[in-house]
Amino acid sequence: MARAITQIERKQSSVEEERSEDLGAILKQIADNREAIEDSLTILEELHKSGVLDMVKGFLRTKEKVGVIAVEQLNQPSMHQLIRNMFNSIELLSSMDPDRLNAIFGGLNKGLEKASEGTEENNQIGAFGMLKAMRDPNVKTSLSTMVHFLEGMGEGLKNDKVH
Amino acid sequence: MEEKSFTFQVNDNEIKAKKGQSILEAALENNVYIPGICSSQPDLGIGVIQTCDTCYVQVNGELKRACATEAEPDMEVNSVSDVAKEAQLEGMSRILKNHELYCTVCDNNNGNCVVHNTAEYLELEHQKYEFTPKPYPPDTTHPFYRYEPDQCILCGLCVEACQDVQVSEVLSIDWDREQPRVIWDDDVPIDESSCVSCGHCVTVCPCNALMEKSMLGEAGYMTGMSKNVLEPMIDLTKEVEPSYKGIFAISNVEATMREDRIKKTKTVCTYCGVGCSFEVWTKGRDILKVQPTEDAPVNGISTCVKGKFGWDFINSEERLTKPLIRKGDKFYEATWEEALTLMAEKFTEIKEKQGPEALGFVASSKCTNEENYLFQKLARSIFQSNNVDNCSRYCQTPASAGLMRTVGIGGDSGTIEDIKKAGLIIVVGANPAESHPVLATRVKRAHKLNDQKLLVADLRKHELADRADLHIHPKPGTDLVWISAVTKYILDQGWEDKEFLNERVNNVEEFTSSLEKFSLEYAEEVTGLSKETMIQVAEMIHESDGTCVLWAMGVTQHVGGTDTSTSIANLLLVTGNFGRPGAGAFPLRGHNNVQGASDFGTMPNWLPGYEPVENDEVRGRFEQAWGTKIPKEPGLNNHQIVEAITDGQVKGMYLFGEEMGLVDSNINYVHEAFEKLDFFVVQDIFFSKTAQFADVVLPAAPSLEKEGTFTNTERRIQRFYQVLDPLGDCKPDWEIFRDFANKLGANWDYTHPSEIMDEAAQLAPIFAGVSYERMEGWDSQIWPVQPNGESTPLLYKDKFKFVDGKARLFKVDWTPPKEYGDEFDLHLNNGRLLEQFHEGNMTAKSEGINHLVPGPWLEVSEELAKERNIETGALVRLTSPYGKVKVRVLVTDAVKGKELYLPMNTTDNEKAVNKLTSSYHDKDTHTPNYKEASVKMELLEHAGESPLPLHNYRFGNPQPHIGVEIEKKWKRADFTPIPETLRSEGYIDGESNHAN
Repeated sequence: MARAITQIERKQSSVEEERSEDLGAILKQIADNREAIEDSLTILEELHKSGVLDMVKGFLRTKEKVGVIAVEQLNQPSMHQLIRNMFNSIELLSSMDPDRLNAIFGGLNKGLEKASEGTEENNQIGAFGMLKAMRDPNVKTSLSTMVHFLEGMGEGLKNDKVH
Repeated sequence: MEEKSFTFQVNDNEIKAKKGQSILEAALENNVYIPGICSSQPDLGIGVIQTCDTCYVQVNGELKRACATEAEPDMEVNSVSDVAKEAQLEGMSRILKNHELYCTVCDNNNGNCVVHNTAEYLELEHQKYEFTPKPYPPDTTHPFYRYEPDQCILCGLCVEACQDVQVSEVLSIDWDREQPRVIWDDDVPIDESSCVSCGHCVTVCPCNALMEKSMLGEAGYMTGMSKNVLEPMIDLTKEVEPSYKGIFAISNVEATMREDRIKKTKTVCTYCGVGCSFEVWTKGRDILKVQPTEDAPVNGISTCVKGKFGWDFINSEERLTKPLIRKGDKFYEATWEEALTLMAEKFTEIKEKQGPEALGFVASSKCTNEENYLFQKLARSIFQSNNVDNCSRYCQTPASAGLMRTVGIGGDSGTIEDIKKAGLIIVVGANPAESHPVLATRVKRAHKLNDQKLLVADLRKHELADRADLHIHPKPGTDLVWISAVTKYILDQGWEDKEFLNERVNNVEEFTSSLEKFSLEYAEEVTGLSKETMIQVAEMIHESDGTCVLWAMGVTQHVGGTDTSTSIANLLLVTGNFGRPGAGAFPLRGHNNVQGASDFGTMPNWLPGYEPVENDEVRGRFEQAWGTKIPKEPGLNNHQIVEAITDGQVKGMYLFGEEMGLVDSNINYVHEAFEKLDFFVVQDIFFSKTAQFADVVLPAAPSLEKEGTFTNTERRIQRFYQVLDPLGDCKPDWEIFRDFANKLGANWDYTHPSEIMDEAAQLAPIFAGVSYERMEGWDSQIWPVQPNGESTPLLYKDKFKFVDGKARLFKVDWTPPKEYGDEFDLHLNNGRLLEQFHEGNMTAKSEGINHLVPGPWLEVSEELAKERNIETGALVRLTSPYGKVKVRVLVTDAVKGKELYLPMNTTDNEKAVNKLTSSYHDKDTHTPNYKEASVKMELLEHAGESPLPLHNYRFGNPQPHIGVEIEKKWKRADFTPIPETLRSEGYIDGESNHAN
């Protein structure tokens, strides 16, 4: 004879048992990963010594408030411009051909050298000298490069207006 | 008919297409990608929606939608030309006017966001049209999902799914307002609408406009942050966006990182017998969502409220996590060792003292095939008892028996494909829209869109009855009579399939003469249906190309349940509706694995695979494999076990996963029997009503915590995978049986369910080619399975399952339903409902589901309410010869006259319908006659609150129409066709001047 009953007596010790089971599982994982754990502890120790942990702790505990401040600061027109400019510059750099850029930079460098030589020697060129210089193949190359650059830039500016 | 195929050109590819296919369909089939947000759900049909305008291509130079343009031979299609791309980009830009891209902090950024992926493919750089919020707040009223109009791209996939797949016809896009949006019914909050919470709309939404609440703030790494950080962050992202490329790069990284913490596991639904499969997304033990896919063989993208949202029980605090042992009037937690030792001791003692027949074994149709197989093996080989049965005894055994008599196999004769295809669907005594919701959607869709005819015979005007071309209401328990009369009328008219009968059916003449008494006059008198109605039924069958009959408990749970099932098979045989696509007999199985439990041998007379236990050759085969003897005599079924306990014959019982103490009929009697047992073991995931009577209660693992297979109503075997670890100390049922058997010295060394399946496949010819390897992922097998793995979706194509290959017409007579005297003047119908499953042991653990339906209600007809002066909310007592219940009333036109309906969704003794049902049963199979209950009704309180909350979908106001009504969008003043926009902007006719 077994009538319907609903009372269930739970094991009282089960909390401690569960805890020791959990600890056992953790200890096993630690033992299995001894080297990784030791390295991590060393890193933690260094971070602690240098105060980094303390800072991170403070940040994490106030993350809500700090998050709001940070986003508020970031969400200002000047920051928008800064970030946008950063993105644009990165985009510009990523779209340039490194070889060509290298050639231009090479030229620029050489130009700088000559320019400073000229300044040091206080070597001023007269009107006739200018005309003469135009016939110099090096100057010609530089000038035509600059003209081409201006052409391209103009094209780019025009396209931008279309959009 | 062979579909003609041809080739045409897409970009540089020569691709194959079938006649009638759209360019987009053909391209996708050939792995050529063309964007198309509103075509991202093939189950909804490609080319029917046409809202997103991202699939523009150039067809022989002209811009057209790839989704709505039929492919033609030698057509030249370009989807990547500058003009085509510009058109696609224009479509996308218009979408993003309605949708803010903040992907990294969006819960839908899981790699499968269609809007994100399409925008990325199109290399969208900038927002052409500024995003403007819509003037509507998010709708968060529904317990399981929310709608955010600001993110809604108005693609209408949700509307299409609701109107034409689920066919609940709740959602529309209101194109007439200045800022269109999706509305529920005639624009009410979701929770007050006719939404049945099936989840289709949420599943198909290509972005985050419709989302499961369980996903919000949970899926992403950064989506859980508080609003005051999130909102400025979205602003910031928008302000500084260099181009969308950068945003996509970051969001892709974040989406990939999510793969680490969101686990997606395929499972098979644990509720009804339709056999939906889907992925469960989990984070730790939290269930984030259920995501169906078009790969699922039965349901595709479809689910019902239980499959989509009803999984809270898994993490319920009420789960059993430790074995319990009764001592005195309390249960005490115990170890597995203690519990199994006690069980071994007690069962062995009973077996030795009283013999093996003093033990009873009740199996579970909720558990796996492998578990049912092991359980009957335990009963038969270790305890030498055939007293093993499962809950199909309470529902569908009469249907199986009726089919075995006539066509030879106790299962659906085809698949859901045949149901979709049939010319006529006849539903008898079943409420598929609530009990088999996803299967019902296929009927509703075919009826709405494909001109399928629908005939419903039922006491209640349930959803399908309401939609039917013809709803007939015979007197309770008289189905056999009208079915036989219709069969006779068809024969009298010479409308039978003569060739089919000649070549494929035995007993034609004998059967025809047995129909003599079923004249239309006689049937009219018995059933209350007019002769004209029955003639109309006969004509509908005669005129239809393929008839499927779907039936369930309204047929089987009667004293003549097997005979009525037989009469259905007879009718189908006479009209040649077996062995051809789009026709056949479909008993709708009620539980996820009620088919499989029987298939795998938890029945007193069958070994696995319907191999008769009395047959010496069969027994020899199993004995050799198992290395033990098996008793020859068939054992006791569930019903007989209870009787035998009452008579003192059965002393010990082992029951798993079955709430017999609530779902068996006449439960007062069943409870008395339980009290008489010397030793009773109940194994379940919850401390059920039945467990209260146990001596040992074992904690089992639900489907999400183990591996295995279920067999659905189509005979389809599907694998499911482990989603979570078993909770606490609970174990998968098969492990418990193995450990118990080993305690008894059996030496079973199963380590995985696949090994159990391999054993069954070796022993039962119908499972010959079944294996886990062949059911990987979404693959499934439909038995009988040939040794080479070939399935049999459609039965009887060449022969019926008898030695001579011919079907047998089987004569049956009508058994009048039980009557209980004039005092019990009201007929009590009973059964399931949509939201809660069965008695509710699982679904009632969900707060959301309880919000939709908190408890049972008594449906009272308007006529009776008037006569007795009763209103909705009144409290009544129902009394039958067997017990009483107290419930509140819902007055409705779903029931008629003196017929009541009481759903079974309660674990509360005071309301449990089986306090009222009797122990009478089907004369052939012992299935209780649940549907033959009579009661008297007393009014206890005249008024009260409606037992069904007014926000329930049944009080809603659906707005049926076909799909998303795209013409309304095209007629709007602010709509310009994309080719026109491109022309005006100079992109067409060579005036293009763009840098991209």
